[in-house]
Amino acid sequence: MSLRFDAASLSLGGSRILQPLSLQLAQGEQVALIGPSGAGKSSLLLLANSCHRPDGGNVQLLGQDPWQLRAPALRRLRSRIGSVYQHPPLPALQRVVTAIGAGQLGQLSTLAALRRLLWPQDVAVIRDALQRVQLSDKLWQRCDHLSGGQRQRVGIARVLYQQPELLLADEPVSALDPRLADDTVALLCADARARGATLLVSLHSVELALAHFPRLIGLRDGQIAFDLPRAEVTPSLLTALYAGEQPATADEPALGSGIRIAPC
Amino acid sequence: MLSASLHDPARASRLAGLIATPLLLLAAMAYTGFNPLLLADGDTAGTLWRFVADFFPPSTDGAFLHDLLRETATTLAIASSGLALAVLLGLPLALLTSRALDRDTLCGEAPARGWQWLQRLLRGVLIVLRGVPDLVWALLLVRAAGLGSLPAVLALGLAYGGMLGKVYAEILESQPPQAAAALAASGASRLAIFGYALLPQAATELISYSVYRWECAIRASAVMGFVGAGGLGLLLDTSLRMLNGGEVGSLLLLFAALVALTEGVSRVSRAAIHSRAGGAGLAAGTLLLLTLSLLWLWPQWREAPFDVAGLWRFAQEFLRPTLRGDFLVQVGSGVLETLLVSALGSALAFIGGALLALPASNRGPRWLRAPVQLLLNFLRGTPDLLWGALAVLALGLGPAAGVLALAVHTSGVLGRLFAQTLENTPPDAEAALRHSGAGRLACLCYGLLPQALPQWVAYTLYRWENNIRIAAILGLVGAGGLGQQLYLALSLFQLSNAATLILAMLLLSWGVESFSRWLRQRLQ
Repeated sequence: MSLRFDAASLSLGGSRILQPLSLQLAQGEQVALIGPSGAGKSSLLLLANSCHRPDGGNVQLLGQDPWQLRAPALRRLRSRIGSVYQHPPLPALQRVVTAIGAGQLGQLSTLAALRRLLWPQDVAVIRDALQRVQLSDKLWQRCDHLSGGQRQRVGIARVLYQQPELLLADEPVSALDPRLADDTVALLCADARARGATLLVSLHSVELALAHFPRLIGLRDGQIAFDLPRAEVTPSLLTALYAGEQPATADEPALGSGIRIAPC
Repeated sequence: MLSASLHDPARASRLAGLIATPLLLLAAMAYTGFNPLLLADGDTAGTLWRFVADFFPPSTDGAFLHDLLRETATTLAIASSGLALAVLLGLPLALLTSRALDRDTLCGEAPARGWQWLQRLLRGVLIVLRGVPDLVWALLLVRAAGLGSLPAVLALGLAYGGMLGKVYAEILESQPPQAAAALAASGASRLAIFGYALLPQAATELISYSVYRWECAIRASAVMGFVGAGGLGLLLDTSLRMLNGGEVGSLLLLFAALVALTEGVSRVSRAAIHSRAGGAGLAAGTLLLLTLSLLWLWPQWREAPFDVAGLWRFAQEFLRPTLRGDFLVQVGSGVLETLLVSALGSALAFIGGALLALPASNRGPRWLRAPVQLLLNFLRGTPDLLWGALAVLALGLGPAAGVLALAVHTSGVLGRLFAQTLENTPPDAEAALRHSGAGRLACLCYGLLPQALPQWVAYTLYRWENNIRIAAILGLVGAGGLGQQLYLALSLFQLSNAATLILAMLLLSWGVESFSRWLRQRLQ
């Protein structure tokens, strides 16, 4: 199992964000996470990348319980898990080549990490990763010179460069135009497939989820509404999932604590 | 699709920076004779350690404590009446020069040419007033008109008046102009526009800045005695010369307490402005403090009369600065020395501040936080001139002591500011890296520092503008640079030489201010 939740629940600031929920992702599986705003999609992903600790139940990542590990082992585990954030936290004055190079900090020694800060290393590989998100001309740009969509793609290039075994992505294409969004989701799926990595992506667009993923998990009010193969996801299930919601807009407004990464 | 070259387009400038920075630092170290290894040297460390060990136990001798109490009162009185004088000087100048009250900017009336020239002249006066360090004002007044606390009050009034005049004017200019424009259009006078439109808007900011300056004035007046201008500095100077560690120890404790006290008063009064009762309390407190200060200082002023005629003779001498070639070369080397002392001291303080800011903002072991914060307060609270005197004891006379003193004092100032920056930096980038398995140091260097660094550099440049003035006066305690030459010139009554040196100080501080402003704009 690449990812396994056993009745894992999460409360933040005294309020229940995720009810106890169980799910399993086999190695190499590709799953889309859908649901209305505030359903807990981001929080579920933050449980899955060991940012939050579940306050009930159990989380197993790549066969290990991160909260039973000592610091060095936790570091090694985390370096095998890659996260794509809806608003990638890139320092304004950092150059793209450095921001992407930071993807492998988990594998590098501290000395090597400091060396590439002074002088860029591994530039050819970094440029290839950037090429795959169609941004290779931005290699030497500063991150504050990028648009929102370009920042999202730099965040994706970082995780492509990291080559994780478990890839988690939170609304990775929310700032991209429909065609680019489609290309980018396809890229994430192809990359995961080629390396045999497991992929869990939360998406705002049901169309994208249905088009690219064989399995869909619907989340509502912190609970799993359904967890089904694509063929069994019916329009009525989707209607029930989004009942009472406004129709989806291109870019979901930031959800405050849901999307920002807590300083844990 | 365009593809970037594999070669870093900025590699030439990066390489140049990587090579030039250490080379420049080394060159500055060589010129000023500051060698960090010297501190690790057994003899130096031994001398300093013996002296510092003497601080304990602090002196509790009755006569000394009596003096201490008296001079503390004098210091507080000097600071308060000096600041009052500065406000009396700075506020009218600000009202005359602030562009926020100009009718041409407010309602497009053509300004009179004579008026514009007057404004330019007054702005020049403000630059001179604040460009000459307060301690140099004190030194000049002491030489011209005699020892005592009156020169200290006047020196504070002049230097701080120049500063307040500029900052008050800027505060007025930063207010929304609509209300003032409406009054100007209906023909109101300059004073009326200020009173009815800008004062109500800017009052809290003006008062809060003045209170902050009072805090600075106390620190400044505590060292005025070094040049014979009364207050605690006089005691400190004597105790240092006599190498009386116990007395220095008591004085250091007193300084720390005084800094803590004024910071507390300053915080309380800045909070008090916002309520009506608080404002009235603040006004009453100010009046009371001022009355007590003048009552305390008045007997001293009657005993030590102020030689007004001497002041006049002195000023006349000053109108003839020495411009001989060989002397100018000497002044030039003093300028270079002062510049390098301030730059190297600030650069070292950048490193020291960064190292201290990490534990102070909880990025080190948790138990280290409180002690490091205490250390920062101590480094910051001990007056720069006292650090200079201690550094001279450790490293001997000369610019190396100046570098050490600036580095130590500024580390305390920058460390606190840097820690604030770190606490205000969003933690997302660092957290994201940690969750992909990056180590602590890597998280710091890739996630946190790129965000904090621009602010850190800006703070350091601001501080450098301040340090150039401090470097110019550290020479008064023997730490090299222009100050040492000035002290010598005044001691030998070579007034025209002193005039040249003060002119050089003015130019230097103006030049560094302009360069730092340019650098800050480029870095944005």
